[in-house]
Order: sequence, then C-alpha cells, then structure tokens
Amino acid sequence: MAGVVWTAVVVCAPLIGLLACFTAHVAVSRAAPALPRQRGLLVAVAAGGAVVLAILTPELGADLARHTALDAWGSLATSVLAYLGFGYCYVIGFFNIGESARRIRLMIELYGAGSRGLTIPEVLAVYNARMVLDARLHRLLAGGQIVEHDGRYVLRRRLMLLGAKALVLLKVVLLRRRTEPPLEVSAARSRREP
Amino acid sequence: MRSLVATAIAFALLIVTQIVVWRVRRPIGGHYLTLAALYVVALGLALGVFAASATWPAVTPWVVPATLREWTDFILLYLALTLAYMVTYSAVQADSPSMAILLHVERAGARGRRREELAAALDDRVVILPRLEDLVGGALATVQQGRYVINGRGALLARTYIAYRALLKMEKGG
Repeated sequence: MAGVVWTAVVVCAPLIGLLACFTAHVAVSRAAPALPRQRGLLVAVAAGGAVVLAILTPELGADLARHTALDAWGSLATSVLAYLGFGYCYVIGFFNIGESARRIRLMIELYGAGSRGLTIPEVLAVYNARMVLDARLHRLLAGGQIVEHDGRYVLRRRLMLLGAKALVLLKVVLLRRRTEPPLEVSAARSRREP
Repeated sequence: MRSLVATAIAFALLIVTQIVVWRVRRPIGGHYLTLAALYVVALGLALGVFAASATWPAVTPWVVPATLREWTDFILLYLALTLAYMVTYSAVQADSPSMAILLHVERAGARGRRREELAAALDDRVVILPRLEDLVGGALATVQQGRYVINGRGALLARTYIAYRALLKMEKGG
C-alpha cells in the first residue's frame, strides 16, 4: 500500500509542486506586500521546484538502480519540465491574467454593475485606454524595460522586446497578420444591437 | 527519455494540426475549446505514430513509453505543454499594450516616443473595445439594449479573480 501511495506521489510530483508554488505565492504576497511581484513569483516557483526535487531525488536513486542512466534522468527531466510547464501556466495564465488582462478587469467592472450592465461610455468612464497606458508605462519603467528622458520614452532592456517580436512572428504564422485592427464604437454597437 | 520523445512527437503534431485547421477556418472566439479538441486529436495521432513505430523495432524503444510511469509522465508533460501553449496563444491572439508600447518605442529609435504619441496609437478602439467584444464573443457577457451585461459564466470568472486578488492582498488589475 505504501508503495502504491509513494508511486502516486512521484507521478503527481509536478502537480504537488504546483500546489506548493501557489501556497508559497499566497504566503509571500501576504507576508511581504512590498516585495516586487516578479520576485514574489520567482520565490514561489523556486519553492514549488524544491518540493518537486525533494520528491524526485530519492526516486532518481532507485531509478538509476533499476533502469539505464538515460531513462532515469529522462524521467526526472520529464517531471521537472511538466512542473515548469504548469508553473508557467500559473504565472502567465492565471496570475498575470488577474494582474494585467483587460478582459478580466472589464468582467470585474461589469460584475460590479450587476444586471443593469454598462454602456460603452460608462465602461470607458471606469476603465479606458489612458488608464491602461499609465499602468503599463509604470510597469515598464519599474521593470527597467524603458527609461524616460526629457518626456520621451526610450528602450533600455531588450528582453521583453524580443518577446514582443516573437509574438508578432507567431501572429504572422498563425493569424496571417501583425496586429489586430482597431474597433470602432459604432461597429461594436451595430454588431450586437437587436 | 521515451516520455520526452513521445511528448515532443505529440506536441509537434498538435502545432501542425493547429496550423492546418487555422489555415482552413480560424475559430472566432472560443479558441480554448478548439485547442482542447486539437489536444485530443493530436494525442490520437501520436498514439497512431506509436502503433506504427512498432513495425520499426529499432525506433520503438526510443519513442513508445514502456511502463505505466512513462505513460503517466508523457500524458502529464503533454498536458502541461499544451496548457502552456494555450496560455501563450491568448497573448498571440490579442495585442498586448505593453508589447505594443515596446514596439512603438523601438521604432522611434534613440529619439524615443512622447506619452501623447503612444496615447494616440493606443486608444480605446485599440485597447478596450476589442476586449469588450471578446467578452460577448466568448459568451461571458451579452449586449442588452446597448448595455453590456455579464452573464453567469463571466460572473463566476469575475468572482474567482476578485477572491484570488483578495487572497494575495492585491488591488484590481488591468
């Protein structure tokens, strides 16, 4: 029975690591609210990774005795990569969505309005492009991606820019366009009015 | 090692299948469901590849998971990669304001951009209205007599994130 339980723990190590990552993130965010958010996330992902390695390291020893070195290290690598994949989903797909996704913010504003709903001008009164621009410029300045000189923003680091260019390339391959077209208010309304 | 190779094969089949389907008819909204369906299709194709590789004894030991542990490792890693891809695809589908700012600033070179120039390029038509329409297209809100109203699914997602941000003691995002 203990063997079956331990096997289940080993197989689920990436998911257990993800749970540890989430728990660590909540703990760090609440205990150290002044800590930069990227650092908090790094601590959380590292904590989850440590749990994964704590589970898999004893198993690696057993695997090296039972299988070839390639298979044993391959198993470890597979589990670690799976954890990193789930960790990426948590950081980018869940946390970052709540941090910066416009759709989520819009849903929260619409939720606050209840069954009454909001017109487009009412939506834009509480959440608009100016607010988004201010928030993103603040983040890019805080992250050192851009700097301000005499009221003009210039590039400082290129890492995020490389990510932006990679996304443009993916857009061209998958969607056959570089950007999405702007939406006119009247077009948005007429598409949905009964 | 077999789990890694098997996952690479399955994931490559997922990407190829998506490119083919997107060339024929790109889904408008609901791409998560479509990608989830392609996950299953690509998994089926991968299982077909594994079955076919049984005719090449030299290939099988490198490609086909042999133990229960290897099969579960393969399924879990393939799932993690697919979910990570779905998350990344969302960033591909919608223009990120941060990425757009960086690209605009880069194009200006050493001269840089003033805030007003960025504001002119990233106005409500570009930044807000398409996302509002996404909520309707994704069946998270409806339009009733010119008013955007959240529905049950959207309300559940909103409540989830409100609770999550409260748990982290963080303010509204966006």
